[in-house]
Amino acid sequence: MTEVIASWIAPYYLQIKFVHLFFVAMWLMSTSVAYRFYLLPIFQDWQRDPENFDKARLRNWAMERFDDGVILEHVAFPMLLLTGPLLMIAGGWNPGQGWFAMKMILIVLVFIPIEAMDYHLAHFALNKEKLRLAGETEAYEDAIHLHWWFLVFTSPIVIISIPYAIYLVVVKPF
Amino acid sequence: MDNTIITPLDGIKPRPFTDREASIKLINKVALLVFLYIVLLIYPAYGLLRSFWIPDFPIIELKGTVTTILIGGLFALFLRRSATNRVVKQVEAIEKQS
Repeated sequence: MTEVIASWIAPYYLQIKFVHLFFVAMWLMSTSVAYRFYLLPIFQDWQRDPENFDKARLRNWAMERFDDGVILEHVAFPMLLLTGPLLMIAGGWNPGQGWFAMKMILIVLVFIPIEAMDYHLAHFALNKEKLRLAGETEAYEDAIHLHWWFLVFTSPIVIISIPYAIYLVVVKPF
Repeated sequence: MDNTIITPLDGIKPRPFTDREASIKLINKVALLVFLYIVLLIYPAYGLLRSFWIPDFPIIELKGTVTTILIGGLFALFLRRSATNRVVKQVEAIEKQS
């Protein structure tokens, strides 16, 4: 079965790789500027002056915009999960190669859990705009706190693991 | 998508991050969990996955274990430092003001 699929898609390997790389670029960089240069300073400014209502409003606005901003990342991620296995089959890669096994582990044990939580925080039950419009003020503040802790803990993880995943793919060190 | 520039508070009562000790405890706990996740899950999972394709591939061996503990430890320290800068230092700034 795998051989049939491989022989069918192998001629399109480079085209699939192009689509994969395009969505990799979209996935890894789409929120970095918004987080580092907008959300982070706005949030920290509010943290230093939490009684200031204007800063709180700006914090809420930035977080709500960030919920929308991650749409690009969250469109790209499923495309990576779709094109990645196609590349694996077409290219004949398997976890016998160390770099490939490590990349699989990173995807399954690091990226998918982080993205699942990120979808939940940004688009589903904990979308801030929906909570605000529903008048769920306590839940809104809880969601802001949870999202902030999520960003605080996942930023160092993705800063290291994403470049490492790219290094594995490009250099294939082991 | 609501494009209102600077959305109203709409009754939301912003709750500051004021509990320094609780923040430090949480950061330490998460750093430890991440260290254990790397050593007890990611490293063995890598060995296990490779062993499906290479039957005599050792799932756990000394050099790999030591390297993983070192990398996991350094990574946990990096995460702890980064999270402390993001949250605890802001709380300390509030304490200094009051």
